[in-house]
Amino acid sequence: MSSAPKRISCAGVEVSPRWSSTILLTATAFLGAGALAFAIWRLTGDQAWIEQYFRVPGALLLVVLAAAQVALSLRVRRQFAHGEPMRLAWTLIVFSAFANLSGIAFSQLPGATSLVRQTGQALGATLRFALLIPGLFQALTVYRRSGFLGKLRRFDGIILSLIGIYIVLETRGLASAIRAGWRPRGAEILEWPVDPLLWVLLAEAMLLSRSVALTGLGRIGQCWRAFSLGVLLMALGDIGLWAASCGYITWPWTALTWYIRVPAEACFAAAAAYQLEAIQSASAGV
Amino acid sequence: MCNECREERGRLDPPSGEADPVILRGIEARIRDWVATEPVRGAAGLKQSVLERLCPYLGAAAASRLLQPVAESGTNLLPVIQPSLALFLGARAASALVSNVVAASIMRF
Repeated sequence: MSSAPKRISCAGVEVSPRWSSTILLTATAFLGAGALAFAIWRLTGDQAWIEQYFRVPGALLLVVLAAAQVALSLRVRRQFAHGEPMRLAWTLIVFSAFANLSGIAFSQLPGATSLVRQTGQALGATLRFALLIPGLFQALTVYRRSGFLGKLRRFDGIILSLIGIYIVLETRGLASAIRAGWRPRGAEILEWPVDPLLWVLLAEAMLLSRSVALTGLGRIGQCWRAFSLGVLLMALGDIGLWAASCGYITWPWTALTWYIRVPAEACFAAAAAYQLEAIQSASAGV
Repeated sequence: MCNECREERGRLDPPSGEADPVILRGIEARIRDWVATEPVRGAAGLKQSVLERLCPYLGAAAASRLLQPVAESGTNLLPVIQPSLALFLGARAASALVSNVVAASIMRF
């Protein structure tokens, strides 16, 4: 018996299978297997379990999720006509997803030098976030035009202030190192804007999340809530890396920060899937 | 809406993805006719039914707020809901959704 997903054609629009469910189930299964690999590693003391887990299936899943983000975002973009505000948002999201895919491809290249890896990091983080910021801003503009733009709460302000303070301190540290004679390479310089960009993205994600909560969460809101969650997880991963570099988290618990990337990328891919499903469902009258 | 009608509408949809004004005028005419023939049940019933069908897309709070300015007669339903839906779903999907929602709501009575 064939297990191929069923496609229904309605009014010239193909209703795809539930991509969002497939993406989230795959990520959950991967995390389940990861928890098992982590447990075996801790029980047996054999690091090969965790190393192989991230080297092969982990790397493969990140590529697949990044490719899914590109493909699904492209399909969403096509559903909006020229001049529609969400078309610009999804155009930027497509470029951002493509930067991420390129970055992952550079980083995972067999025998990649540190320069190639840093270039991948610049593409997959700096360029990706720099493109996603105006994309999410455009989505917020649509929420404002429709009258459903939420407001940041005091808790959001506190979190953003704390991360803002951390960025200022980090920038001062960099400035001191340069004054002391440190000469960074070009690829390293390209990584510097990552934290400030992530801060802006986090502010947008919080505002989107508040806006979605204001609407009562429908199919459209699921898309933007998934984006918000993805950004939040990326920020948590970034904080985890910082905590590890400062010695606040020690080995082997630093390995847990590696896991965050998978649900974060799954959220970005699922976001595009939710939007596509909402449009297809609306077009088909389901 | 039957499959044949859907296919026909798919062929008639403008390739630009913009809402077809002919379809939209047709929906408005259907609402006017229906409210005229069903003045008592038509008014509040139509609005409630549309609300229920928009909730899964917009969320309960947004759908309820969106429909607040809609007159009890339902005659201004389209100009109120179509632009907001088009912002989030695109004009083409929005007009298809509105068409289906109105048709389903009218047929319910």
